[in-house]
Amino acid sequence: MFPNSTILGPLFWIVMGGLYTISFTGFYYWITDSIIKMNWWKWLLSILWFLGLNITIAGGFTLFGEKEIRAGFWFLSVFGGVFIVLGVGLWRLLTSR
Amino acid sequence: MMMKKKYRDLIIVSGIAVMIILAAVYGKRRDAETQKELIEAFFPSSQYHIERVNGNKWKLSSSNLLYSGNIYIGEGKGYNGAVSIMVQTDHQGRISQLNIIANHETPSYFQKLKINNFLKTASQVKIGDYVSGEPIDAVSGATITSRAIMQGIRNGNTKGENIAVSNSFHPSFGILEFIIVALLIAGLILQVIKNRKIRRTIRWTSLIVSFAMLGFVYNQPITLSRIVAILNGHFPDIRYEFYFYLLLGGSIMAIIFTKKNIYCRSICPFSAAQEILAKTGRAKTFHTKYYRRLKYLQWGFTLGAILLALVLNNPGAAQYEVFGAFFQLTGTVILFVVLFIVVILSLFIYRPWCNFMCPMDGVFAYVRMIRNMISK
Repeated sequence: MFPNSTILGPLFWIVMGGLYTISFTGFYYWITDSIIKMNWWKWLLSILWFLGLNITIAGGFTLFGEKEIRAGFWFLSVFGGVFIVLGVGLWRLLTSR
Repeated sequence: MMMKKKYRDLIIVSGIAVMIILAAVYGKRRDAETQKELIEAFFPSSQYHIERVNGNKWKLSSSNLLYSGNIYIGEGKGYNGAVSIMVQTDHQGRISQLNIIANHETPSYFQKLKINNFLKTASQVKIGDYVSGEPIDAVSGATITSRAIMQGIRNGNTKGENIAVSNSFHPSFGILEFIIVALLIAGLILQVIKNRKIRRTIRWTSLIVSFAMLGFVYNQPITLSRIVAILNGHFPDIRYEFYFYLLLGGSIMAIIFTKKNIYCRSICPFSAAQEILAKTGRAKTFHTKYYRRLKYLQWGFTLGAILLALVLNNPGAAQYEVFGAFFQLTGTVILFVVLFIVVILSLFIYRPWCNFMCPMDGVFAYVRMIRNMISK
């Protein structure tokens, strides 16, 4: 990812790891403080959605990196669109009583 | 006041009709000139000697007399109108060149033919083999365009050689036709049933069947390009596309007899997609004081697209619907961008495409206007 540097690569992944931890713990505390009642399948669906979204973003940008700009654009648009719709549906499911 | 409205409607209806007729006449004249130039471009008189036998056949020989053969020109019925084919054969009837000299098809269909080497496969068969039917398989996803090309080859050969062929005009009634009749009946039933629960069940069943079958399996909604093709005098082949006559005829008849647009309400597969998205995001109806103006803008845009397509004599130019992009992932980048915006908006606004963008709304509104004017 950073061919001209030996330090930027590890630093990038340290920052990414930190961001993941913050987003997971932030989401956990926010959801337990809110009125949303979570159970095991709601957690499972939320994690699956989050993983799917991450794979979409990672896949799309990997294609950009491979100079497959067109493929990356289609990948991000199609799967990104699907995950936005699924995200709205999931949010409705989490907030339904 | 009532009289004033009646006259206003009469002026609008006849004005639109006059504009459409003028655009179609202009487009036809323009196209005839372009086609002639195209044929001459393929065989320049400096290299070839061409002798006209009849309207579909020309005898071809090279200037140095080393080569002789025939040229056949025929037409097939494509998705958006006629597809003109020019076939060059040697004296034994082997196809040496196959050219599409004019067509109004959507470019993505031709892309599918190109990927599947359709023209190459079609030219490996003797021209005589096309007389009895379709000697090669149509390309899936571009069936109508593939058939139009084979029909054009047959048409040029049989007319050029004066071969008598029996043309059957019997429409085929298959699964798609059955589904359309069922959807039309369900749409009409919805107009008379009062019970809300039953209404909801019938409507959602219709929408889901339409979404799956008319959308994903057959991908056959009514599109503006098909309406323009009809206005241009290119009627779809009734043998293969009987469903289209059922769908369009049934939807127009429903407006005439019940005043209701059942197509947009419960048959259109993309309206079904928007309903599902609206349910997912709990979408709300978009209320604005400019609603009427936005509606006129939508209809004006439809009229503009129809006139442009008629002037260019290219029904494909009027196709700005996102159905193909949504159901088959085919279309231009702009259409995909529009589709993306529409999908996201549909989660929060109730049927944004139907209410503010769909050209079919304008077409059906015009039919309703004529109906109301006559009934008054």
